[in-house]
Amino acid sequence: MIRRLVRKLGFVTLGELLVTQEKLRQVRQQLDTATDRVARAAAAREQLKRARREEEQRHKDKLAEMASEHERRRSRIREAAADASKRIAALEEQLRKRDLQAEATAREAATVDAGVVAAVQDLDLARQHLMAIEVKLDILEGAANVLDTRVRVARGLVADAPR
Amino acid sequence: MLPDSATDLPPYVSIVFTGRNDGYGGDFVRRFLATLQFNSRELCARGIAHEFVLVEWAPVPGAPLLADLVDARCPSSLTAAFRTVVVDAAYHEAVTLNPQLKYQEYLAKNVGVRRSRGEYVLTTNCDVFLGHRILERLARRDLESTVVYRAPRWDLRSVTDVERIDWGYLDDAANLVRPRRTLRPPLFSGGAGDFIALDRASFDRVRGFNEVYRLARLGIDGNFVVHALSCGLTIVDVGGPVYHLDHEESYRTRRSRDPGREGEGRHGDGYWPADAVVYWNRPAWGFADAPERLVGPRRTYLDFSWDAVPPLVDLSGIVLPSQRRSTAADRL
Repeated sequence: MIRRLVRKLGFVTLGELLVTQEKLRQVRQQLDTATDRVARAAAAREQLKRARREEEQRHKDKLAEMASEHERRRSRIREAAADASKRIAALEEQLRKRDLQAEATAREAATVDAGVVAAVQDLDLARQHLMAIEVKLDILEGAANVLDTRVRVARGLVADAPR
Repeated sequence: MLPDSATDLPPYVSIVFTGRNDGYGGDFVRRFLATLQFNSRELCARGIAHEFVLVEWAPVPGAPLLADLVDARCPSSLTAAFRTVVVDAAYHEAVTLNPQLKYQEYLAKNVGVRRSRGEYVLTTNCDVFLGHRILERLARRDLESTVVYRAPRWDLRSVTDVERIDWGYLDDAANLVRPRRTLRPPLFSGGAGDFIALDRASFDRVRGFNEVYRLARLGIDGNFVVHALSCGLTIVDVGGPVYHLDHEESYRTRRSRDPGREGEGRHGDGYWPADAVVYWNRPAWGFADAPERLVGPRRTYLDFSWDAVPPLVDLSGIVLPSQRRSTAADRL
């Protein structure tokens, strides 16, 4: 009953006060802990953010560097390709000139070959002519000898014939 | 079985050779009769329709004709298929261009070729045995036209009893006096005078052996092969040899004994360029215009006539192998 009267008067008992103070102290402690946690979390978040920013920055720097390197390489490759194209063009020109030279040489060789073949044929024909002439001369010589003999025989008969 | 030549049917093959009874190379008559009887026997045994055409060129006066000896000593189965053409001796004096040359073998063979009746003409010599392969092909009648058939000549050791020569003797390599020879393309030359076979129509188209160059016997056979090739004929090896009875005075015997001098004497100059020139005989080759007289059964005599004698000199008859006359080319 005293407790009800005190409460109606808006007062609390000492025990209740102590309890409430204890509770309040616990709550404050919890609140402090929570606050501390929040602060730590915030700090961690900040740190994480900072880390992420730094990481992002590093990536950006890295990318920039890679882009720069890539660009440099592209530039080198373009230069090399341009050089190679020039060399290919020069080699093609050399090849074309050599082909022309080779064709000219082949034509010359074919002309020489044809000349040799014709010369061999002429030689063979000349040899045949020579052999034919030799045979004809043999025949003429034989005929001349035969006629000579016949004439001598005939003259001898005439000389021996009674007058 | 008598060959067709004993009747009016033309024979498949005319075997043309030439000789006379003059003791050439020793006992010529024995060699001639022995080879003739062997060949006749083998041809008849295989039923090959054939005739023998012997040309007796300028026979020796007073000596029996070979034809008389054949009639006297050979069986009727042989004589029925045996014909002779005797050529007056005046022709030899009229055509000669070389007094050293005592026998115009190829002019004589032309006389026989011109007067043969067979579908094919085989020119050979009086001391040659036909070989197995040749007889087989004649039996099969598988010769082709426009083809000149050649056969290598294998020389047999001379023997006294030539009449006893049989296949056992021929097939024994120990009886050969020289190594067996083979013929090589394109000419298959070498001993062509001992075997040339050609269809009669082609022989006629090419006008036989060379009658323009009459200074030698040697080389005329090889020259014929060159001439045939230039006329578009094919030259082939018949596939087997003929066997020749070796004897004194043969060209090869003389060559082995007196190298370099084999061209002297009866064979004439052996070194004329027979492989480099060809010829074109006149149309009346083979003494076609000679007056003929029948002097016995299957025996003809060619009387002398200047009309039949070829000109002493016919330089237009010598041509280059690459320049055959267009008329000749048209004929073939």
